[in-house]
Amino acid sequence: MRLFKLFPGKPRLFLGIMVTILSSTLMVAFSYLMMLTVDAALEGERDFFFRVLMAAGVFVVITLVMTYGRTKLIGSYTERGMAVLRERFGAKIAEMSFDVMQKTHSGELLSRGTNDMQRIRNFTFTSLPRLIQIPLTAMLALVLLFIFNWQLTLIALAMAPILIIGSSFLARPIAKASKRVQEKLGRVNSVLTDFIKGAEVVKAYNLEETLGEKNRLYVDESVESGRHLAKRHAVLDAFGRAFGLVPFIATFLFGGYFVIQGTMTVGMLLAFINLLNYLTFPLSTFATLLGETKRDLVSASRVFDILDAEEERKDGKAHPFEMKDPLIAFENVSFNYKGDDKLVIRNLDFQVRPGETVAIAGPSGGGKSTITRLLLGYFDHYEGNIFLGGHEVRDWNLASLRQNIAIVSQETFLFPESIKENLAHGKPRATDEEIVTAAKQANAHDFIAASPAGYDSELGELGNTLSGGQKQRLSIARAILKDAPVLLLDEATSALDLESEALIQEALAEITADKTTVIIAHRLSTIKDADRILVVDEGTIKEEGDHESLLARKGLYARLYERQQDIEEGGVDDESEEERLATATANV
Amino acid sequence: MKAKKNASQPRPRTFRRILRLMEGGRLPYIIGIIGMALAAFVLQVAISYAFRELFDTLEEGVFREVLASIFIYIAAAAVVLMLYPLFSYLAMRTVVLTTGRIRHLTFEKLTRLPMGFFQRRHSADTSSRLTNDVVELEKAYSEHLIQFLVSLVSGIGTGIVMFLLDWRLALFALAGSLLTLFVNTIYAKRLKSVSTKVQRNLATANTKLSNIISGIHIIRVFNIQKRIVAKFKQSNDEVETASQTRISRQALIDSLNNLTSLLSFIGLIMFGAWLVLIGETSVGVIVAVTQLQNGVRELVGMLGTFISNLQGSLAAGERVFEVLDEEEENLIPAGEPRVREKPFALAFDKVSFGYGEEAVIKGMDFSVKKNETAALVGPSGGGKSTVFKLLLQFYEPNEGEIFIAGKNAKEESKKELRARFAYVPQNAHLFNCTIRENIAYGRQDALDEDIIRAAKAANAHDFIKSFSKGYDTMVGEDGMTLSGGQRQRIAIARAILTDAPVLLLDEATSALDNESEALIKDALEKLMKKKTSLIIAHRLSTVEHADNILVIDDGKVAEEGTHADLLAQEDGLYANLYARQLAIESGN
Repeated sequence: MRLFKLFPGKPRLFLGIMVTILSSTLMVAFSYLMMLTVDAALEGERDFFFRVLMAAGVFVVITLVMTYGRTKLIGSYTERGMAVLRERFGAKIAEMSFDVMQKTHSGELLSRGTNDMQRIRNFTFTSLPRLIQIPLTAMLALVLLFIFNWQLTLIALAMAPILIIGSSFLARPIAKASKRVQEKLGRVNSVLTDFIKGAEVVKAYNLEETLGEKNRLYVDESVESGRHLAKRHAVLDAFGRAFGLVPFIATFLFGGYFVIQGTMTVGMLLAFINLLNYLTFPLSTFATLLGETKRDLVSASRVFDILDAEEERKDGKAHPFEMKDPLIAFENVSFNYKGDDKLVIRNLDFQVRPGETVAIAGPSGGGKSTITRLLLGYFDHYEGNIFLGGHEVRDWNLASLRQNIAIVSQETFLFPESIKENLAHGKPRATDEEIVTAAKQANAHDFIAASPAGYDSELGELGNTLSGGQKQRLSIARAILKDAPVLLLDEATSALDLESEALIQEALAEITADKTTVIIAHRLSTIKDADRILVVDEGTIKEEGDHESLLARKGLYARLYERQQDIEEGGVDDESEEERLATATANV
Repeated sequence: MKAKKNASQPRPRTFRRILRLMEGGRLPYIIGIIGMALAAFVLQVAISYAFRELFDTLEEGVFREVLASIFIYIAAAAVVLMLYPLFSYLAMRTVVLTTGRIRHLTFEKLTRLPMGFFQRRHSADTSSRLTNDVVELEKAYSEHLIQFLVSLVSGIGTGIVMFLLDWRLALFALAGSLLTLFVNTIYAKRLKSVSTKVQRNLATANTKLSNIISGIHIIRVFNIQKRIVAKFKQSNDEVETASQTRISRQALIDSLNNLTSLLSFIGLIMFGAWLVLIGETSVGVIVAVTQLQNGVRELVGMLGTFISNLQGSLAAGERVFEVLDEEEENLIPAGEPRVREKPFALAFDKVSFGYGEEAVIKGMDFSVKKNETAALVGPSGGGKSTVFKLLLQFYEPNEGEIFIAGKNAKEESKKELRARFAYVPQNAHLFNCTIRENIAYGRQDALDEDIIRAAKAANAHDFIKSFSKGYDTMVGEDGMTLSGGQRQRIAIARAILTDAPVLLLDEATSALDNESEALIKDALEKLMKKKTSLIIAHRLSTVEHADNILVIDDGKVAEEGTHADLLAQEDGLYANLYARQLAIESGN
């Protein structure tokens, strides 16, 4: 299968499997030897005994070496393969196409790269050798058993199906009881987690007693189910052990008969019982092994799904950026996400001139973020043309295209590295001065300098030692540092307190001054300043113009704006709507 | 926090505590274990003697005697098997009850812990302690201890019987077991240390992977794929190096273990055969001893695992007990009131407070009249949310006094004081139950009509009714199936239902959709009408309409007054903040 194609060093695997097969054979063969020994001992043949003794010594040494070799061979093969697999996985994620990224939830991706990976390792290192060894040993043992005495073998084997059916019959009520216990515990845990996460509300609303009662009830229920399960377990356990004795009892009886009859020797019977162990014991675990293997293979396919995922294209030319006019142009663009029939963008047509600040507004779901994604080259399958810096997006090599765009998005992502390293992602070889300058422009320098480690402060995972506003400003600094001609701002100032908003707006105002900027905004108060506003709804531009002229038109924009104003500035005051509009448009 | 390293000795104190928790069930537990141990022992011995009888009589050649002796032993085994489940159940019943008791105790403790505990500790950590760690702790007395004791008793017992059968063979078997023990303890440590290293490196690599996944967009837009993947590869290589070392050590242990077990088995048979050869023992004895030897080998093999398993469980137990040992909340406020009454709905009199060393609130004075709406504004970190926490009696001030409904807070119990507030937090904190239950948490004895009335007032009734299950819809964890605006409105309904005289509102700052914002604003206005309200405000509209604005900066009330008053103060803090905000909004 694919796994083996991917893992390097196949000879090691083959060797390891060979060794496994060999040691199984040896173990079984030894039982035969044992038989001879005992019979020889009974007959008093000393010479033979010593010869077997030597053989046993050799055997032990060989087994020692083989066990070491087997673990080492298969183990190192596994670890090397896993390293390769993990590396490819990580690299793949960095290059995946947007469609795939959308489809798979990040938690899911992580789980595949960790949990599923781990299962693959278990499969190769643990399950695979056992998958080979157990059936092989069992088969060899079976063959030998038949050779010894086929009647006895059949009798002993007849027990097997009874055992299997019996235990699965008993296992079913246990599975049910076990599931019940888990469900009850799930409820207990859910109340517990609720309490802990909502401690504030619990205390503020004096809910301790109420939740306590709930918990008491659930715990008692779980105890009850637990007792129930324990009862069943005990019974199953006893039956299991009893059943386990049956094959041996049968062997005793009939075997004893055969020996007395003369068809078997004592040594043979001994060997027989020993071999029976090789047959029954591992087989009972084999079923679980198969189940696990099935799950391991499922995990493997989940990992391979990712490895096979489509990557972003690497073609296209690394054009030099041309300050054309218009700098950005959408020409009759239509687009829908793969797998979705609905056109998210339809016949979109607009231009952005160099130095302009254009805002894209409109109700959510109308297509605004899709526009940014198209501009960043995440998709190829659209109709029409999109031009940036003198060339069509599909013509651009993606890396160079993105070199010319800096983005500040709503969910800031910062790496758990130092502030300096984070900012430097904007420009990898930036000097310290450049970094500080960018931070100052973003109104971030002050709070950075105020912290004890300054620019070397390490950000925790997801940068959660900082406030939302501070994170935004770092994100802006990073974008500033990139010094790209085009700036994309995706609703950068929602979810902040008054103070941060002001600082950020200031910073943004400065940098948008000499760059071509496209702003996607939900709150209209942030885009009043834009040179032009495009109101996008249902994938097309419904209105276009600057703030005042759009208001005057009293169309979609005006309505959206009013509704937001109502909320922000508090109801309709003495001024009537029209009067307010009149004041607002008085300067036109 | 204490270092999480496991001590190399078992923890007697935690152990004793567990035993104490078993109160009432200790006797059945002990009886159960002893019973199981004896049963296992008797079973082993019975089977071994059966073996001996069989092989010895085979040598003689009289089948009838064979049958008779075997049946006796089989009967003994059967009786034991029937009794085994009884003992097993006795022990497990105590186990289930004890764990139930632990769950009861831990939850009750939670209800008595102060807010400081929840603020100090990460919620996931506490959750994990009271769920996963409890499960792990249970294993100590449900599996590890029982398995060990049973193996110990039966192992010692079978060892004695072995000696009775043939002391020479027994000695040989013992030597083999000691060798196994030696190998496992000495080498196991080396394996463990490198295993820990592998786990640590793997965790690091997985964290880096997680960062790649989270930062998927930033990585592309800033073209930093190579850098990030290179860092990942580095971690990955470290994992591989440590893993390969682990493989080598494991291979060594595997082969040594194999060696000792082979020696014990083969050696025993060889030695036994030799004894038969020289006429010192019978085949039956060899077989019996070999059979018994299994039991001893199991015990020895168990020892190492038992100790580490037990350690793990006891470590988990410590984490659980840490929570149980936490200091509880003092519901009766400390200290004697200086002034008993003040004619205000809420008042702070020279209050100072800090979570740790540094004071967050420094000598704060303010008052809110009955039915007044007061807004708290100010730069982030100034102490606004802390004011709420002090009012809700989550903490006690270091200095100064707080007055609620005219009386000094020290005069009433914390629960009574909390009942005076209707608290609407920034993040709704809904619980994992139905919408109806969530709202009903506002007032325990509420009837359905009351609930619906509250929901209507909160503008939530309509969307609740639009769900197929209506009020009986389950709210996912943290209210995830609902939109932010819907969660807020349910939280408001809950607050409305309390009918408490004072509203504490921490305004949500996240960008809700337009529709929700308007509805929430309306609902809040209704709520505020007949109450004394104290609001941590972010929206300009809220602030402008407040009866009194308190500007909190650096732990004090810096400015106070109505909107107009404050604006009039030239160069005042409020005036500046407001001006900046306004400038942004009106496009300056």
